[in-house]
This record gives sequence, structure tokens and C-alpha cells, in this order.
Amino acid sequence: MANEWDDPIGYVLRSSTSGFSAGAGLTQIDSLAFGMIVKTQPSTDTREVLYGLLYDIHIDDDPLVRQLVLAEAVTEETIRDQRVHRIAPVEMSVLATGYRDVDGQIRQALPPRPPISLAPVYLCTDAESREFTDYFDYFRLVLSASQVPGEQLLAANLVRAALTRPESEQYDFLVSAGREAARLLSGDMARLDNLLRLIYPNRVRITE
Amino acid sequence: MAKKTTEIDDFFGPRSPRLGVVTGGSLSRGLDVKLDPGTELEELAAGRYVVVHGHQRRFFSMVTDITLASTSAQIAITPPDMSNPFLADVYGGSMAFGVVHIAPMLVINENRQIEPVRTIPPHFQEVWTATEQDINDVFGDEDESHFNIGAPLELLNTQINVDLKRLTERSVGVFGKSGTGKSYLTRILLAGVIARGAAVNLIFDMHNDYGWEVYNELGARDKGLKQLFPDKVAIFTLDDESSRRRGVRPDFVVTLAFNEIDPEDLSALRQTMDLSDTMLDAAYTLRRLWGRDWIQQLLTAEPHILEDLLNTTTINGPSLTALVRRLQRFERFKFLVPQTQGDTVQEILNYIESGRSVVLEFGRYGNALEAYILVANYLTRRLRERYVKRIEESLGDEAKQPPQLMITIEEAHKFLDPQIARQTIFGTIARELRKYKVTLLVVDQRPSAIDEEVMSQVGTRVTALLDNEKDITAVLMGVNGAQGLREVLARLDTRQQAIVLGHAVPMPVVIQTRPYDEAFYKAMGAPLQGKSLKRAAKASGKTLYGDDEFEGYG
Ligand SMILES: Nc1ncnc2c1ncn2[C@@H]1O[C@H](COP(=O)(O)OP(=O)(O)OP(=O)(O)O)[C@@H](O)[C@H]1O
Ligand SMILES: [Mg+2]
Repeated sequence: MANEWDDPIGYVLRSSTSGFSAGAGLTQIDSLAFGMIVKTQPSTDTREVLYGLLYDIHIDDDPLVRQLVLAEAVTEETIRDQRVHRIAPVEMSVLATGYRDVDGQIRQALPPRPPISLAPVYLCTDAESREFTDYFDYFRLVLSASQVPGEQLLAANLVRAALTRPESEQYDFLVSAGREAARLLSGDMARLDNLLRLIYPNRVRITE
Repeated sequence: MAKKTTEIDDFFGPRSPRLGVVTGGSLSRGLDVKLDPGTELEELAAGRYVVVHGHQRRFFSMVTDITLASTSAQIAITPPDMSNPFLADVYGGSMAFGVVHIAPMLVINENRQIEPVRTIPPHFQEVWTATEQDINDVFGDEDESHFNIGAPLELLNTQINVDLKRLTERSVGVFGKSGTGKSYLTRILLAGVIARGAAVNLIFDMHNDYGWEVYNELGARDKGLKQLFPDKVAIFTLDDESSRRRGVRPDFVVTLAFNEIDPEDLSALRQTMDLSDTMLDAAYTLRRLWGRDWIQQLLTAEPHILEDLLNTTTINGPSLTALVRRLQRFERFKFLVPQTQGDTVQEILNYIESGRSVVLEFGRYGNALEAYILVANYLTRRLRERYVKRIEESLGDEAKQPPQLMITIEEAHKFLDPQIARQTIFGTIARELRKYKVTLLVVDQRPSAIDEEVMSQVGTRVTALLDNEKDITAVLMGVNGAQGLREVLARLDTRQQAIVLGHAVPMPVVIQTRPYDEAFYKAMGAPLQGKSLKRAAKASGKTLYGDDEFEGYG
């Protein structure tokens, strides 16, 4: 995996053990999606790789955008130029859902320490996403996080995770994920019902 | 879903399918097993065997109840849309699930020895359906002393073998509603006992079910014991005409002499003939006054003689008239004669001593309960007297003792009703255990009407479907771990299924009764060929059954 750490999509802006925000250039916007699994590169070999779910992406204005919004006859050129060179980054929020310990094991728990600022952030490969979603222990972290729309986020993540699997396994994967969610949400049928409708397998094809 | 193979699994070999895991329970109440999502609830039946894999032991258990459970009360209030297959799959395996209740029956330890259940497996141990190997480990092969009476539910290629020695050294009960196969079960058991020489039988055959051929429900003829074992069975009859009409050539026509009937013989008929205490007292008085001919004298007495009686004895008029009227019913019984030719009791004894079983056909008198009870009591009382004498004279020398005798009676509650069980010979035999080598095989559809103390001495119980609560309670009373069988018992098929429990089997078991057909006849004639005697149950029978000195169920 020589180039595992090539091409970060962004860098950590702010962080805590429950998650972090990262900034990226506007050109990255097309490769980002709600519910994706991202990871941070550790600063040394003795630190953990952190995993999290991308749950919020926002694009702040900057003074130039404010001007351009009001200006008349702005050329395509100017707009493209502004997008490439703008000074405010695209900001994304990531909910911490686990880490890969130095022993190589994935643990679906809050990390022992947050990533440091400007740590590079990467999208996980399909293989890595699949590895992470082989276990469902992170459901609880997602469903109990107050700052995120839990069912929406978990559903988006599961639908993506299903697609990283062979087609013959997708349905069973979603059923077992659904059962685990049912276990956790047995006291709240409304949320459970919401979540299950969001991951109903027909939708898998629709999002494709 | 972790696949952890323990040593015991390596030893016993793999199995499938897994049903679920133990989630709770107790030694006295049995265990709750939460079913895996994939387990098809509808395929589980009460009475089926399952095996719990503990750390060191396997717990043989029977499914006694099946329930639906859910993790949330809400789901019951707003059931999910089960027409959506995805939602059905998710809910079906998580929030809504099946729980089966199982009763541990016995334990096999890592040395493959059988132990009684003294503990339970810890939480979350895996539960599997029992395999043929499991059943064979417990019930072993057929051999000289073990007889195949059927197969466990769902495992129709295996056999349940009863231990004939244990079966015959204590009393046996065959119970079930009308038409559930009691007579067929009894005939199968008797055939086993006769084929292997476990005991000699005297069968009071009320409905001519056992000796010669019978018509089954399809209208075809099934063979009787005499046809299966011509040299080992004799047919006696009370009704020569009826027997011959059915193609039987009886070995002996039984007659009883009026002058042999004692007042004691009447006391067993107290309920059946509605005899009061004062009527019985009158009978004793007459016997004392008139001697052996008391019945005939009474039935032919001139009015003035009766008048005299009332004046000179304590007998009162109404009782005497009532007694006369009752005894007049005996006149219909052609087998009652003034003087007998041979000694029927001795005749029966001769057959028994030469190892031949006797089926006593009642012919048309089977419909007269008082004839059945009178004759069964009359003969049994006298037979037992001679047995007791013989055994006491033998001074413990086995060689001088008569063979083990099993006496079969139907409508047993009429003999063993709590009101009369203490006074009748059958109550005595049931209670004195095997001291005098006589035991009973009672066939009945109303076990709750049998005296409790007598029931507690019925060592092996074979019971087909019963639906009356009281009968179910009576049959299961006192049998360890049997309480859980209530539901199973109430849900047996209406025919050819039974639960076998008690001394002749290592644990209660639901069987599909062996078909009584050509294959059965053939097996009865054929020698057992080199069957291995390896059987876990045998090696550890002692621990399992407890002390051999059976004192009845507590
Ligand atoms: N093991 C068996 N093999 C073949 N047929 C059987 C068997 N058991 C029962 N049957 C069928 O079921 C019918 C009823 O059985 P059976 O006469 O033994 O019932 P029962 O309980 O003795 O009835 P009842 O109370 O009327 O005496 C038989 O006629 C026979 O056709
Ligand atoms: Mg019958």
C-alpha cells in the first residue's frame, strides 16, 4: 500500500474525541457524500488511524463571494476562478466511530485522543469500508450522538456499505444490520421504523 | 455466530441445525431458549428432543412449550408491516422472536455416561435438535432385554427401546382416550414381553383384543398374540361360542362355580353393582350360615326361609331383597355353573408355570362390567394366594419360584378406584410391589379415577393422548421432570403417538408407536441377530434410576 496516504481529501481543522471538522478545497465537493467513512492519517506509527462518518458538509461564504453575489455580469471565468482560489475551505464534520489500534485491530469506540490539526483526511476504500462495516458496534455511537441526525446518517452509511459488497450479499447484510438496529432501538419504534424504511433494499438501487 | 468448537463437540461430531441459545430458566421449571432468527417456529413441535451443549455436558431436553416474545411492548401495539419482506426479515429475527421452553431430562457427560439432571447449563449455551446419534446414545440398540416400541418424533429412523426387565418387575400403565391406540400399544408391549420371555402374562381380555385376530380401523385383520406365538400363548374363554365364531380354538373353557364365590369376591363389585355395606354384611352372614352354597340357596329360597332369616339374623328386609336382585344378574352368566369340571385356577397356573401366557377372552360377557370384575377378581385372588404360598415355601430359592407374572386388566379404574383399591386384590398387588413376583399392566382411559397410592406404584406409564386435566395430572404425578410434559401430552396425535415415562426408559420420550403390521409379526418370529449390547443407559442405569428398591413415586 505504497500510496495509501496519497491524495488526502482535506485536513483537520478542529477536533475532539467525539469527532472533528476538516477543510477541503471546493473541487473536492464531488467526491464527498453524507454517510461516507473517512479516516485520518496518524502523525506517527504509534498513533491510531481514526475512522468516522461524514455527516455535515458546508460551504461558508467569504468576502469575495459576497461581492460576486451582488455583482452584475460575472463571467464564467470569474466564478470558476473564485471556486479554485477561494480562501474559505469547504468544511465537513465527521463523527468519530472508531479507530485502528496500533496492533492493527479496528475498535468501534471513541478514539483515545483526537486527531491533531492539519492531519490529512482520506476517503476509505471499498475494502476498508467493508472491513469497518463487518461489525455493527458503531451503531450505538451513531444513534446516540446528539449532534447528528442518527437514523439518517446510519442509513446513508449502511446503503453505501451494502454497495461495497457483492450483490448476492447485499440483502443479507442489510437485514442483519436492520436486526442490530432493532436491538438498539427496541424502545423507540418510530426511529427504528424510520431507519428501516431508509435502508429498504429497493432504495439501494435508487441511490446508485 | 462465533464458531467455537468445544472438545465435547469434537467428540460427538458436528450437528445441525442450531436452534437458539439458553436465555434463562431453572432446574425446577426448565429452560427458556431464544430461537435464532433462522429457526422456523412452525417446524418445532412440543415433545421434540433438543440437546443443550453445556461446557462439559450435553443436556437432553424435551420441548414442552413454545411462545412468541418481543423485546418491546410497542411492537405488539403497532405491529410492523410484515407484508414488506425486508421489514418482516428484520423484525422476525430481532424484536419479535420465538422462545421455546424445554425440560432437561438427562445429562450425558464427557465420558458418554448418562446422569440424572442435577444442574442446568449456563446462560447462552447453544441448543440443537437431537440427532439420531444422540437418541442411540441414550436408548441403545434392541437386545434380549430391550424392546423397540417406536421411534421418537422427527427421528423416525431411530428406535426407542424399553427395558423389559424393568418394565415387568413393576406395574405398568397404558393410558389414553378412547381410540388412541391403547389396545394396540398393550398388544405391542405384551408381544415384547412374551417374545423375550421377560414375564408370563395373564390377560383379562375384555373386548377380545389380544388373543386372536382383531379388525383394525381400516377393516383389515391384525393378528393376535396366539397367532404370533402359538407355543407361548394359550387362549382361555368364558364364552366358547363367541370364541369359536371368531375362529378361535380355545385351549380351555373357563367355568366358575357359584359355590366358589365368596363375599370377598363381591366387595370388588361394590361400585359396579351398587352394593351397600349392609348388603355385603348380609352376604357374609349368609355365607356363615349356609356355607359354600349360599348364593344358590339364596336365589332359590322359598319366601318363608327368607322370612326366617330376617327374624333370626341382623339382616334387614330391604338389604336382603336388594342383594337377591343383584345376585340374580349372575344367572345370565353362562360360565357360572353349580359345579365346575376342572380347577380353572390350577389350569391357569399350569400354563403359567410352563412359561405360557394365558389370554382369557370374555366373549359377549366383556360388555357386562360386573362379569369382568367378578371373574378377574375371583381368579386373581386365588392365583395370588398360590403364588404367595409358593414363594414363601421357596425360602428365597429362585429355582423353586414360579415365573414373574404380569396380569393385564382393562378399565382398571373400576378395580382400583380409591373406594375399593384397599379391599381388592388388585390394589394389594399394585401396592406390594414385586415381592410376590406378580405385577399389573393396567389399561385405562381415566387414570384420574385410579387410587393415587396405586398410581404411585405404576412404575412405567405409557400414555397416548389425554385431554382431561385431571387425567393428565394423574399420569404425570410424581414423575421427575414430567410436569413440563403436560402440554406435550395434551397435544399428542389422536392415534399412534404416546409418551413413555418411568422405570423402563432412561427419560420420558414421545414416540410414534411402532406399526403393528407384517414387519412387526416378522420381527417377533426372527431371532435378534448379534446386536451390540453397548449402551450408555445400561452402564449407568443405577445412577439414573436411583436405588433399585423402588418405593413408589413420592
Ligand atoms: N401401533 C399401531 N399400528 C397399527 N395400527 C394402530 C396402531 N395403534 C393404533 N392403531 C389403529 O388405531 C385403532 C384404534 O386403536 P385401539 O383399538 O388400540 O384404541 P384404544 O385406545 O384401545 O380404543 P378403545 O378405547 O376404544 O379401546 C386401531 O383399530 C388401529 O387401526
Ligand atoms: Mg381398546
